[in-house]
Order: sequence, then C-alpha cells, then structure tokens
Amino acid sequence: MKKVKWLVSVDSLQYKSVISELKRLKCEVHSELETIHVIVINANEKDILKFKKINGILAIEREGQVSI
Amino acid sequence: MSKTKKNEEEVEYTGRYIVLMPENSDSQNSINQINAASGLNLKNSTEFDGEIFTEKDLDDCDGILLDKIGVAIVNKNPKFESAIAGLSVNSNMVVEPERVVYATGILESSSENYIKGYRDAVNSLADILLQNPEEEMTEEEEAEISAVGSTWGLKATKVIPSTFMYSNPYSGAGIKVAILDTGFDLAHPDFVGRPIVHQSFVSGQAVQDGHGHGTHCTGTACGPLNPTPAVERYGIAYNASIYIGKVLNNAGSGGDGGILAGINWAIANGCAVISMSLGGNVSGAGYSAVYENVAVTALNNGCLIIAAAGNASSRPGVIKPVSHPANCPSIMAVGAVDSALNVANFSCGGLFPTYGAVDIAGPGVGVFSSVKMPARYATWNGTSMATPHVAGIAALWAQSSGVRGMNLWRKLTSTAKPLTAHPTRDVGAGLVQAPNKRRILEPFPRPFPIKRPIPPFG
Repeated sequence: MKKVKWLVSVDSLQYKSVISELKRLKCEVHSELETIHVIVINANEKDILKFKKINGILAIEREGQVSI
Repeated sequence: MSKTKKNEEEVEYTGRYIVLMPENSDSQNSINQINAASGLNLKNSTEFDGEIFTEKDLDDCDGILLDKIGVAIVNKNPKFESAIAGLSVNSNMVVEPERVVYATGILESSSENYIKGYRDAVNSLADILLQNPEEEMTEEEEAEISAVGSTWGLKATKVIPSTFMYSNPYSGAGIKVAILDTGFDLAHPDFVGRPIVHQSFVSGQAVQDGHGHGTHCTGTACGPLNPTPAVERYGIAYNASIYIGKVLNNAGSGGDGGILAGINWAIANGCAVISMSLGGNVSGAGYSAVYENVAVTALNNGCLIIAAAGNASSRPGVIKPVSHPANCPSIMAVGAVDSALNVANFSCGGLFPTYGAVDIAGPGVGVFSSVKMPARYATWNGTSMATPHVAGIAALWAQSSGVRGMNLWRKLTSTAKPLTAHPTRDVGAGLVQAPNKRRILEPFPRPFPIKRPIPPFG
C-alpha cells in the first residue's frame, strides 16, 4: 500500500510523547512542527487506524493540495 | 496589602454611581431629566472653571455631569436609590456602581523604561490630538488623497499617502509580516535595500519567485512608499519586516505539509501577521481540524492568519463556499470587491452557519502591484489580491494599537467599512480600513454590547 503524507495535530502537552510513540511504532516522521503542535508523517491508511489510538493525538488528516 | 497588588477578582465600589446618558442627548436636558425624576441636584461640568472640579465640589452637590462625554457621577443617597435605579428603565440611561481602580503595579514593579514608554505614548497621543482634534480627515486631505498617485485599493481602504504622514505615521515598522506563497523576486528593484528574511519549503526550489504571484502579494502587503520609476504607490506596510515563506512551487501549487511548515516558521520567528493567498477545494462538510488547531495556536501566540476566501464562484448564478483553509473559524477569510465596492463575481461566499464565513473584504479586482522581473508590475484579480490588503493593514493596526492575535482580528473587523448593499455572507464585516488619527483613539471593541460607544474626547 502506497505511503502518503498525513498531518497529525497533537495536544501540546503530549507532543514529545506522541513523537516517541510514533517512532516506537516504526512510523516514518517527515517533519516535526513543534511550534504549532503538528507532526507530518508518511504512512498508509492501514497504519493510520493504529496511530489514531495514540493518546495525545487530536486529529489526523490526509495532506491535500492547495494552489494560488 | 499594597494597593498595587490588589487581587483583580475583588471588585470594590466607591458608593457612587456612573450614569451614561442616551446617545445624542443634550447635557442640560439630561440634568433636568435626572433631577426631575430623582429629586437630585446635579450640576453640569461646564459650571466649573475649565470644567475642572474636585472631590469637594462633588460633595457640595448630588453629582456632576461630564458634559463632553455624556457621563454623570452621582453621589450615593439612600433617599434616591430607587429613583436612580429607575433611570435605566425609564430614561434609557445606563447606571453602574462606580468602581475603585488601582494602578497596575507601575510603581512597585515597573522599570524606568516602562514609565518612559508611558510618557512617550501620552506625548504622542497629545501631538496627534493637537493637530486636528475634531475631524477624522479634512476635505482638503480627502481631495489630495484622491489626487495622489496610489492604487484604488489603497485609497478605498484609507491607507494614507506619504504627503499625509503627519496625520498617519503608520508604516508597519516593527511588525513582522509573513507572506506564504510562491516566493519572491529577491532582485526586484522596488525592494532594493529592504531586508527580507526568506525560506523555501518547496523541495528543490529556491525562494526566488518563478511564478510572480508571491511577488504581487508581497508588493501589496509590504511594498515601498515611493516605488521607482514613477508609478503609483501600491504597497501598504512599507516599513514592515518581510518574511517570505515559499510554500507553493513555481507552478503555483503545494501541499498542506509545506504550508504548515511555513506557518510554523513564521510563528517561531515572531510574525504578527501571516498572509496566505492560497486555497484548496472543499469536499463535503466541515473544515480541517488540523488547521483550526494551528490557527488557534497562532492566535494564542499573537499571530493572525489571513487567507483568501477563494475564486470559485461565478456570480450571480453560482456562489461557491469559502475554500480550505480559509474556511476554518480561526483563520480570517477575505472576500474580494471591485473599485465600485461590489462583490467580485469570482469571490466565494460564507454558506454555512457555523464555519466557512467570509470575515472581511478587500480590494481584489484590478489590483496593481509588483511581479517578477522583467515585467516588474502587473494588474491582477482575485481574492489572492484582496488578502494582502488585509494583511498589510493588519500590520498598520498592530503597530498603531499594539494589539495582536484575536484582538487584532477584532480591531480589523470592528473598524471595517460596512458594505450594506451586500450580505455579510459575501463581505463579512465590510471593507478593511487602515488606522488614522481618529480611529486609533476609538474605544477598544468590548466583549459585551453597550448601549452606545463613548466618544473619545467629545
């Protein structure tokens, strides 16, 4: 299954622990945007169902495209 | 306990009342009305030399009406309490008990710099008032503004030209504005010598604008006071600190991840305003929870995100909903109007009751600004063009009033020019307006409605 980018919104108080848990679950973290409490990950849909159960994750959305 | 350490939750009252007169009421008539209704003996402040009175003067009567602001201070008198309380019911007056107020720790905890800053602010305010305390703008000023070379958008939004710097010194100085777009033409002659902080979030592409869209938006928000060669002024916050985040590639598109990285970078760098002339289609109901959380975090960090409402409409027949991410409740969505202040036919509308509203409108048709060289300038249409008008003016308000985040949002919407010919669905609070010497003195928007605003200085 092809991996795509996902946007993960995280409770600010649990940001570090969520990153640790994602990495423990072998999630590919693309970027850590700590100021806005967001983590961008590469994952397939099946894995996302697993990640959604992590304590401290507020929302996960598939990355969309925007334009001018 | 020191007075300066007073707990804010402990409200103390003096025992007197504050009575706010009805709008446009004559002060002497008001005194007569109160005296007749309550049996009190109120005096008018005009009876005192220079309208200056003391506590003793207040003790010698039942109260004094402050003629210039339509507010009376009324002494407590058990005999008249029911009559005073009845004023709010029978006379459309607002009656409140007078509170005891304290200095907020200036003498105990403040530094010399704080006191100097306070002094400077008062002096600055006095300077502005003494120039022209009565009128918002004279007819001569209005006429010369019309004649001065600037875009129609800068005129319509009351961004004052350089010849009126004496009456409006705001330039965005000290305010960091981020433009997240296709980058910027770093070699544009109109920006020579202007420090620009930049970062590309597009893999494999430098910040240099290969499209022109980002350069156009930057020009409107932060372009120069006197562009060269002699073209009309098109930039608003000409002294703001420019932060260019390239989040869209040279073809004009990009992913949410890059945009969020740009927002993260802008907030981390202390930007007070983020301008995003970009958008994606909305499918189904709702808005992005991720962007909404980000926008709330931004507001809490003193940063206002302003985004284009979108250009998908084809009015009058088709009105499309505000695009992503402007449809998030905590992102300020900007619709577009033309030079006749009619809604642009392409501008999206706020179609849902709880989200996706158009919050404010800006000039978005026939907008002249900078583009990448060699073309140098171009006139374009779009809510993309309306958005940097709001962003630039937000920088002026941030400088003039010092407000940030949600308070800056309120400042922009509360001072917008209502466009009553059009529904709020399309224009929100109305056409964005720049601060001027009158507007900066207006009372700050209040969280609760009051019967009428108190005029600043009569």
